[in-house]
Amino acid sequence: MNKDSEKDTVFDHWEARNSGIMSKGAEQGHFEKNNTTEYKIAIQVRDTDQVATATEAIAAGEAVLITGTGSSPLIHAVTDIPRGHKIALRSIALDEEIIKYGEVIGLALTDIEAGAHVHIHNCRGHKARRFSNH
Amino acid sequence: MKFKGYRRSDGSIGIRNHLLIIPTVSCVNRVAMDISNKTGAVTFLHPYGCTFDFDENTTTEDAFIGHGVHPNVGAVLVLSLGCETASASRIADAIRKTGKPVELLIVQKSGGSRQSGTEGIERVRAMQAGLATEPTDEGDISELIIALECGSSDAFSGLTANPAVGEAADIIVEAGGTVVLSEITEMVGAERVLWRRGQTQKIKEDLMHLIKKYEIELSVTTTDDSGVFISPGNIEGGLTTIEEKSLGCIYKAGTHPIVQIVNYGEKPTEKGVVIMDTPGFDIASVTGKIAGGAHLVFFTTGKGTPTGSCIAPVVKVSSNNQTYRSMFDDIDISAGDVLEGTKTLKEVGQELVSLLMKMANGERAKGEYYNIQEFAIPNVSVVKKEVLHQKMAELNDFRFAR
Repeated sequence: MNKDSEKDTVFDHWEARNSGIMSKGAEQGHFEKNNTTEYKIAIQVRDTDQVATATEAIAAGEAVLITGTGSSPLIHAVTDIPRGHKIALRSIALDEEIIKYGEVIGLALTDIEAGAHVHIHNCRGHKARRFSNH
Repeated sequence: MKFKGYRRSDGSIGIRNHLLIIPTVSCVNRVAMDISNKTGAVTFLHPYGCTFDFDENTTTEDAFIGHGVHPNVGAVLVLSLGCETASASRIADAIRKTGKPVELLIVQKSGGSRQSGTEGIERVRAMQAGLATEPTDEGDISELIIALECGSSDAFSGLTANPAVGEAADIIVEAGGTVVLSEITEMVGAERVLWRRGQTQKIKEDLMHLIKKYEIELSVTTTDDSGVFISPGNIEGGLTTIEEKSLGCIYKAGTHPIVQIVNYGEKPTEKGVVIMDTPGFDIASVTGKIAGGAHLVFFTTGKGTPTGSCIAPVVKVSSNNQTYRSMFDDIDISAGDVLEGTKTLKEVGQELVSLLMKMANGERAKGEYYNIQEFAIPNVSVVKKEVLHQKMAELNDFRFAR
């Protein structure tokens, strides 16, 4: 077999594995949303998670599509949420455990409204630890 | 889930049928490469010369034995210089116990590099003639060990690629298979989460000891707390607690209980989620898991890395489609569609499992296609030397300077 044609076959095969990401248009960059839809995307890892992570900066009032688990609800942000930060998917009560990855990542320091930014101001770890030799 | 593989006389099943050349010291690397180039046998570059102490020597020998007895390997040529600290005969004997053909060639006793090379080519070709070219038996996913690793991560690794691999890990474990997680440094601080995951009290306690060991090592080898604590950079990036940060990494192993903890390069005897004690360096970590019998590696990456192994497919999973495009030669599959909202994590997890079954049936990973292989073993003495240096500094001891 000709080396080039073998390479083409392998390339096509690799492309098929990834539903044609290469041919979908590299120039569009990272996110390839339909331009007419006005929403931001946040990822929920497990069905039981109370928070999702913003893939881009979200402003208060903007619509947010929750992806990752397939339930795909559209919620509205009530505060600004920076890229990579968490948004509450439902209201969370004071001292309630906050779940991400299906596990407890911390406790709520205040009542948290659905759509609000969840971070160090309203969520703390279980116990602050020190280095073993300190 | 079934596949066609290579049944070994010890009962294990391989998904590849490689002839492996093991150079037992770096001095014979070039002879090994030469034999490999002329025969198509696989080999790796030995990263070190002679070793300094017993522990290090045992780790080195055991990593080689692990590669030799690996079910993806059908026959082995042990290539020795003759005077190295690693015992070539111990390595060859241990591999012979599996019943596969093993040849031992000592360069100092075979006429030097050129004559040894010629002799090696002959012996390799003779063994290759006896290797099956087609799969010999049907295997089940429950017989497979899958290693999990991440390297060159980015902000999305913990959100797309790692959770997608976690979904795949759950499918593999539910089908009776085994996944091996390591990177213990990432677990420091997440003890509470991991404690609940241990299947027995002993596993819980052993895991806590292992994490403590790494915490102490980190405390004497670095002044930077960012690996142990949540750092200002992490917080700015959106990570709120140490549990959340650690889960981004350990979630690769899915949600099932931890059934066993093994040493570096040790083969798991239990099926399910297994933790291996490996260093944070991804190449040495992958090498240890393959030495421990991993048939295939899921390697998640944010920015992309070419790494591969001489005997097992290393499947690179990118966290975003941009990296898939910019590192197309290296990335096997992208979890980036999750970021774009067009696929769920479960769907990507299922794609990973179907890719795993294709590769178990012989389809090559990109690293195998391009003949990319890396090999590293932990230099265990480094930590001890660091401890020594630290103590010397504390004692303000200038004995050797005077």
